[in-house]
Amino acid sequence: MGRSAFVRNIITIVVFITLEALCIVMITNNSIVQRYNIMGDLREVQSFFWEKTGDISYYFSLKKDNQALVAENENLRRQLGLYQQLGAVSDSSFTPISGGYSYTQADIVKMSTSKQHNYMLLNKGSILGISEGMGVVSDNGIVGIVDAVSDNYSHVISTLNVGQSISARLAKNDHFGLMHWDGVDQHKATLSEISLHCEAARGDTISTSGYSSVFPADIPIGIVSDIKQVGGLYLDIEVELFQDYKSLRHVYIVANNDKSEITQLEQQAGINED
Amino acid sequence: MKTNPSKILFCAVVLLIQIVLSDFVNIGPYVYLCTVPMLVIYLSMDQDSIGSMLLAFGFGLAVDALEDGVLGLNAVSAVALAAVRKPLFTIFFSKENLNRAIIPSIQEVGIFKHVNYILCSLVVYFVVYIFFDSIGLENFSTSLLRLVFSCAANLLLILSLDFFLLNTRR
Repeated sequence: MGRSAFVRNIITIVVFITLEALCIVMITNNSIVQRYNIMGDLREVQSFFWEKTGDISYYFSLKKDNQALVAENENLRRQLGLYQQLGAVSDSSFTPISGGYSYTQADIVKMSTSKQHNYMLLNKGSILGISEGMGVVSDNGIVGIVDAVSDNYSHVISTLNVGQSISARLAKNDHFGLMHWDGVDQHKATLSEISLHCEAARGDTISTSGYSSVFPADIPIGIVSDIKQVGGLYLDIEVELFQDYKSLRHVYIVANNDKSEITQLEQQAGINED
Repeated sequence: MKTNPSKILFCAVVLLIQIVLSDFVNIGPYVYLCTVPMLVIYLSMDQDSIGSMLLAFGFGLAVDALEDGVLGLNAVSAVALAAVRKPLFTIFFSKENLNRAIIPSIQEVGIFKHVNYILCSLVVYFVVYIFFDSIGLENFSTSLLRLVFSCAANLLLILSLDFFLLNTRR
């Protein structure tokens, strides 16, 4: 098809559309019934496109909304930490000197979940005050502990690491022990060295104990899925984790504001946490 | 229809017939007798698409104005028919005839092909006409009956006019 033929076809289409539009305008202007029905149909088409364009713009605004929600969540966590701290203080006769925990939102840049020693890389580093030994949590529980930092990134040892232990307890009666991952199922971990008389039952909630300076107390971790007696002395509790590592994207780095003071005190007393 | 005066005369006669049909012939709600499709179908094939559409628009508006109907209803259908006139023609006849000054009539192309061509043209015309005429009002079966009866009646009308008008003049 030559260029002139192409232009001629375009002109033909334009003339056709113009004449048809002119006819439809005349029809709508000369008949109330046609006007009512044609305008009704046009409104329907218009509404359809408005709805679709609304959906599209909503989709593209999701990222911004998500960021706003994450920031708001971070702020709420910070406030919650302060309220918890105030609540603890009000029950105590001691003067409030603790600085509590502060939270920094971070995104996961890289992560492994299929190895025995899993890790993740976060997009926040020492410039923003992140340091080694800080805990990492998400909305569904604990995630890991910061192991190394650069200016803009943090390396985190995931809870899915056979060498990692977290202090956890049964929420209903505060019996605590060490929780570790057995390297098999990423949805399950084992809470060991729980005393025999703790009356644990399937479905009980396991949360952080707060006995380390890494994680605040009472962060839900999972539920009891199985209980085994070990050597007639202790119980090993299988924990079904709340955290789904495969869908993890946003996390919070938890900083204990009193950590340096606690570490200093532990050093003075000759206690080594590790 | 080789000279302009004869074309104008043909159009005038057909429009006159349309007035008569509109004012004196009422077959029922399912049949609409209309001569506009004939005016578009019998346009010379060397007439380009833009010219055909403009002429069809004029014929449609003239008929709409002459009869007591909705202005634009015949025009919208006539323009649609004019737009598909050439592609329809190539379905039934060879492409070589497209650019010749041929007028598709019984004498030119034979009765069987001609009837099929007219019938398809009428379907296009009345689908558009009935759509805009009964938009949002009638159900599908009523519209289908209108389409079938109107196409059949107008086919007979066009064949009759072809025989009496064009045959006589030839």
